[in-house]
Amino acid sequence: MKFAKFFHLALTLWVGGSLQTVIAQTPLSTAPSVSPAAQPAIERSLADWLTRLHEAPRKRAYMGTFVVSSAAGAMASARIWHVCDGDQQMERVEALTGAPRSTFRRNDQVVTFQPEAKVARTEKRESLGQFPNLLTAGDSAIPEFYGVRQIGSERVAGFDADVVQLIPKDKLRFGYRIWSEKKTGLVVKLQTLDTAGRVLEQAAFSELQLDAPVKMDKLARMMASTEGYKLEKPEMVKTTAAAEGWALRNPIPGFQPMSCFKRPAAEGHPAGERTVQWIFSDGLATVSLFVEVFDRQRHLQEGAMAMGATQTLTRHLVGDKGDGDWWLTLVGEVPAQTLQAFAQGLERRR
Amino acid sequence: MNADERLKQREQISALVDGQLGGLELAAVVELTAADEDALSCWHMYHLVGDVLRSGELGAFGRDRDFLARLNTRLQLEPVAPRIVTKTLVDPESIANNDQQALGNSKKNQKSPPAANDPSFRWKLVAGFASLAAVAAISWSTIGTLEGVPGGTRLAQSSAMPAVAVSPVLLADAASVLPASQVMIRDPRLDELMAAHRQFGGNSALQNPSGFLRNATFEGAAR
Amino acid sequence: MTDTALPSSLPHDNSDHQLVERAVAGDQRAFELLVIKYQRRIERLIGRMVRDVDLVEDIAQETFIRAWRALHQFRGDAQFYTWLYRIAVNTAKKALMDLKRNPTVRGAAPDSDEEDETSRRENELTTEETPESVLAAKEIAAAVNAAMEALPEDLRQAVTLREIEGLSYEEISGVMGCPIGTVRSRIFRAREAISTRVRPMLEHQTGKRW
Repeated sequence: MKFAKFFHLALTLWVGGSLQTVIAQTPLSTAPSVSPAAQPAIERSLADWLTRLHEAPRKRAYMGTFVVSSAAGAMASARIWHVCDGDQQMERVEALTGAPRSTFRRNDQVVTFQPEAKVARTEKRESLGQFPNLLTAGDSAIPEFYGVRQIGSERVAGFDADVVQLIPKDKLRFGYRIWSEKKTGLVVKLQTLDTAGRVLEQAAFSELQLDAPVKMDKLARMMASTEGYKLEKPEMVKTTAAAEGWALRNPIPGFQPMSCFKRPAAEGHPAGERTVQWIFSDGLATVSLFVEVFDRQRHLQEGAMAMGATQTLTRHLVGDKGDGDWWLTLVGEVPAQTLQAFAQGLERRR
Repeated sequence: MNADERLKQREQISALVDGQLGGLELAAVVELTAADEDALSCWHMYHLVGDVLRSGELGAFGRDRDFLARLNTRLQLEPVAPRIVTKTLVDPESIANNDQQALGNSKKNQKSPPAANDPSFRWKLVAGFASLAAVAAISWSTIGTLEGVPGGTRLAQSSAMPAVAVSPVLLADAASVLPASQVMIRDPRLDELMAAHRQFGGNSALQNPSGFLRNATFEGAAR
Repeated sequence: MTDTALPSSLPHDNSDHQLVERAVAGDQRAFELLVIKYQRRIERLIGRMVRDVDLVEDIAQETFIRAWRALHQFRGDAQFYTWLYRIAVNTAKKALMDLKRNPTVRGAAPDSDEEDETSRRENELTTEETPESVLAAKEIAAAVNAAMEALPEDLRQAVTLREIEGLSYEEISGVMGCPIGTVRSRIFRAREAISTRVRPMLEHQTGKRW
């Protein structure tokens, strides 16, 4: 059947890229098979849970295979190594699907190697250090907008895990189901749930070795081996939305503006106006608003699309005083209506 | 807004009633009706006039303005299923040349689908199906059953995600959703921005390790 | 003036096409514009099948919600109204079936099997048509007629060709021998002139009305 052939082809593609192997499909689990006598030994608050989840990698070295799957069945997977040494955390991620790629992280420094193109990109991701502040800050959104419920236990990749559900208190955000390894708290599986409670995406270890012999100095050496690679350092200029002339008319409940950047000039438009990226977070979910000058050659169709948990929306924004013509791209792991709310609230203030 | 501007706006709405607007102008006028009371009333009025010209009794119906407000409230509660993005195959060249035709009824200008021996054909079509599988399957899960809808196949009822084994039948149905003349085309710019977004996923309590790993795992797949 | 074509509004009318496209892409505002456009006809259609006034309203709401949900199934080459019409009929039938099973609620009109929009007996009220609304409709129709008669010939001809004959701008341009821009302008001025007479009437007909 004609479509079966394309289906097979489709399964070997993921978001326009190329998978090299088709991973054996494991069904997305829905509700966990809860062990009947499971009484949570310890009652933990949401803050306690999140802290536990966050601290877990600090204490352990581990390695394993990580698989991200969407409801559509498309998947991506990678081999990962993690080690921690006092204050330093290092991670290595080797893609098993798509073009070959190695990502190294030391705290908030990230280097991504693309062996086929012989390109290495380095960046400092300051957002990676944010977490404790997200929880302790006075106006922390998380407990106000999410509830927590421990719903049982389940085995994942050979480990017993507590299953915890984070339940959004409104329809502006997604929910999460988290499998947290019982002894260490390490997140071994994470599901993102839509507003109807259905699984949009799942990220999980298919195999995991705790306390693996991962050597930090070896990872550090690999991270530094950039000979033969063209080094790219994307220059993002830190700015503020106000400085760029933008404001949000009404804040979206729970979402705080986190940072704002001017992105590197687009390819082929070196002298052009740079795209502004304005980032919001409610502590668990992130939304990026990209604003650029409208270009009728490129910006042909408004639309909405989803990939896994990530929703996107593009919108043409016309200044009502004739003060400009903009193209808005919104991306976030939030329901599409939340992106629409952001789009509708964006205002030009200059 | 002064009287002249008001008249100009109404004139545009009159054109919209007859499907005469396209591109920028269409988008702007649709936005206008959402923001401007007079614009929406005008849309309503012109249609009332048309209906009454054709059938006088229609003036007795649709008199309750609250109908729309109530409907809106309900629509807001609907899970917004990500829709399939259809790229209108409009030639950027002709837009640049201010071609009225190009800006207007894009359906008339729609190029016939690329020939099967066109080297770009395979990539477009396959990419289309990949995204289609992702998007269509997601949209399908939010629709549930919708009996009696014309041309609609009976959809599998799913309150939970179906097991990942996406059957060829499902894809075949999904494929029939898009008329053959519309090809989904991946947008490299959108991919770029999505990657940029993932770099900032660190603003999350779930970042470590799963968030970072999730983003890093996705990253290369998009290239 | 009777509605002779069934069930589409105008013979070659594709004027919905772009709004529908936007609605399919998720633009709720575009969808709302379509709702306003078709609300009257849909309510009239349902009113022929169902007696209960509140039920007609509910079914109409349900129809539009179902249409919204099923937009992705709408094939662009078909007429939107035809598709919407069938959803309305099916939704109404389903509601009537539910009523039969649950006879406590007031139910169906005697000729509820009829789908035909046009074969209604003259002078028979459908639900929703209260004496008040019938009177209001007569007032509006009278105002529209008077306005039409008062129009300059070229404006009246343009709006008649468009709204009653269903010709496209291009066709009208051919018939009237004037540029399309002029067609557009004449139709607009005709509509505005008619609206000027109808607006005060709507305001006068009190309540949460347009």
